[in-house]
Amino acid sequence: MISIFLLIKKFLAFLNSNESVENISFSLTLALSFAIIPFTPLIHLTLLILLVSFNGNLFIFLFITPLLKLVTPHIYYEIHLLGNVILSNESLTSIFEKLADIPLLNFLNWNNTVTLGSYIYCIIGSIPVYYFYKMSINKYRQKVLPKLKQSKIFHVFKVPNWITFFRK
Amino acid sequence: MKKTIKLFVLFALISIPTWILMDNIILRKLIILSLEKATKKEVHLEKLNINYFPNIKIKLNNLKIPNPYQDNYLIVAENLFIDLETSALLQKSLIINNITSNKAILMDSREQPIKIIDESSNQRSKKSNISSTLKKYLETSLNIHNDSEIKSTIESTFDFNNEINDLETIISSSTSLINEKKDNVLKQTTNTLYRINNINIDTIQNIDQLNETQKTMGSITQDYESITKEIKDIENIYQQSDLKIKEINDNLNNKIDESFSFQVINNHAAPSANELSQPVKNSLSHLLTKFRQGQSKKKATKFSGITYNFRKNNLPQFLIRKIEINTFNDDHYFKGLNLTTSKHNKVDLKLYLKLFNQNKFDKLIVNLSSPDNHDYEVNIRARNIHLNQTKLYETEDILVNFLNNKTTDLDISGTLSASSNIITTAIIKKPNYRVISKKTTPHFLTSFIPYLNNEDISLEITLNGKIDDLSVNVTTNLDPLINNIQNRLFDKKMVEIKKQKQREINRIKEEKLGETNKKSTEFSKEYTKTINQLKFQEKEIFNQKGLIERRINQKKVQIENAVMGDLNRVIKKINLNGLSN
Repeated sequence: MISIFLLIKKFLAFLNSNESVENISFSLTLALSFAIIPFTPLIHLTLLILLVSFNGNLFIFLFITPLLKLVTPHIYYEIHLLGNVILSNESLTSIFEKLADIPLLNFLNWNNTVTLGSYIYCIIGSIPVYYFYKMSINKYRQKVLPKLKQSKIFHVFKVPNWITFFRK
Repeated sequence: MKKTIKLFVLFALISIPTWILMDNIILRKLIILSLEKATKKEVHLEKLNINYFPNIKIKLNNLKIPNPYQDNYLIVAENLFIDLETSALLQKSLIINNITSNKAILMDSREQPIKIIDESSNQRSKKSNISSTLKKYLETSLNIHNDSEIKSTIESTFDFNNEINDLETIISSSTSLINEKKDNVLKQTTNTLYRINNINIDTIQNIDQLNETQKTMGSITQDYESITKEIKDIENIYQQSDLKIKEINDNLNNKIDESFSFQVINNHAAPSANELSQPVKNSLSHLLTKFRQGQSKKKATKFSGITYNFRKNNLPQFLIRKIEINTFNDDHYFKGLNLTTSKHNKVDLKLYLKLFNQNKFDKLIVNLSSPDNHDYEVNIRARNIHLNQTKLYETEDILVNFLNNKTTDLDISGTLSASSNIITTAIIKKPNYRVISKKTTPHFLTSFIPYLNNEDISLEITLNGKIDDLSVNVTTNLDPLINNIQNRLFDKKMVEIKKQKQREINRIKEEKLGETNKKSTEFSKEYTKTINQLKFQEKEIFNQKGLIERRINQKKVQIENAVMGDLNRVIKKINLNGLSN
């Protein structure tokens, strides 16, 4: 229980700290992609490499991904509809047949409606999501945070030193 | 970015040699884990070697793969060579060019594998369902000799209430009539006797008094005749009642005898039309339903979308081009060509398995082939299957065991496809049974079961149609065989039952007729007492009447004599007077 409390505190600390808004938004966007795409080793490894390469916040990524993973399976049907529209398109069949013969590409599992739908969502939706996160964090820091700092709730999240002492 | 590239290079530099050094350990662990997950039993693999060029070649040393369904190993191989097609792996296909082993034992039961997880309760319930169905069939087939059921059925047909009610009605109405008449008679007799006693012969002095007394006697005689008539009426009432009571008792007797007649016992004890085919059909239907339920449960997992197949190169996801375990002359031999799970690949699939001199059978040959991966020609021959001693039937009186049998054959042939057509034939040759009587009294099965000894049992199951709508036909010689023995033993059985039933008849007669006899005896006793009393009164009247009549006659003579004497004296006096004059 204390661990969860400390994790939330840490997450809020990152939000409230001088950590760049771009980094946090990038981490959150990657976390959403990571959660929304059904497990494909190559893609998930690539996402992790991207996170590390672009200096994303690993803590925020690891904190938010499991939470999103709880929600995303509930929208798989809608994602499937998107993927199904593309994969069942007869005019694209010849392209898909060519793609199917390319070595290693099959490991991306693109011929599955949910997986392809999630790829498309991630490709199209990542940029707007990134900007949405960025704008939200900025607004939070400008408007919500000063008010929070004055409220009693903020003091509740200030963990006494003796708790951290026990954790050590 | 430079930092990232450095990291990648470092990662590659570390991971590639690590993989080369550790590949056998990692793959060994992966193989063991996946096989253990599939079989739910401990898998043994001592050593694994991999060569990557030109193709991936894996050598497995001391491999033991357990049988998930039985307590033996599917394969125990000293070495097993696997040759994989590397290029197919890039297409996400697992193509195995060759699996070979020269030193392997198939279906090895020398050791028992260790279970990791208990067998699913689902399987246990399937087994219990089949065994319970067979047990139920045997119980219903053999239980026709259970006399207690016949007894209870016959006894339940007894209803003597009407007869007993009739009897009671007759006795009560007759008793009331007799009592009424008895009261009348007693009144009359008392009155008559009183009148007789009032007659005093000594006081009769003259002829007028005598005439008066004679008149009274006439009236008394009339009363006496009326009393006699009344008593005769009572006797008639009793006789009629007695006849009716006898009639009722005869009816009762006949009813009991008819209830135990040959026809009734015959109807109750005749062999019932039990058929093994129906329970076998039910069992198969039950298994198919369970299978379908399992399939639908598997389908009903988390939504994962639709996977389209755009491959044009016809490379299946999984294919074993050739598998050969041992050589054809060995007791254990397995050969497979083009084994694949893919339905899209039109390959000439062939599978041949030969197992000789096993613990559970002497010979098993499995032949499976498919030209198109849709219709599978199946041919399975098992010879001399070893069946262990099994308890077939048990009651508190008797135990019937099926003895160890090593001459059972099984043949399965047909086409396994979307519209299957499979014929399964099983023959148990020369089976033997042992009957153990738990009680000293002889049980009928002791003579029944030996007739089944050495009688071959055959069972043929034909499956037709789609798995969703499979028609099952079962023919067996066990039904006619049991019926035949039942008929042969029927006369013997009837004698046995009749003997028992005779005792039952006597008991029931004693019980039921005793009840009516008691009532009629009481009625007779009461009647005898009444009639004796009345007869005594009648006799008393008769005696006293006779006495009085005799005395009246004497008196009459006396009076006559006296009158005659007086008359003579008068005449003499008249004569003397005449002479004197």
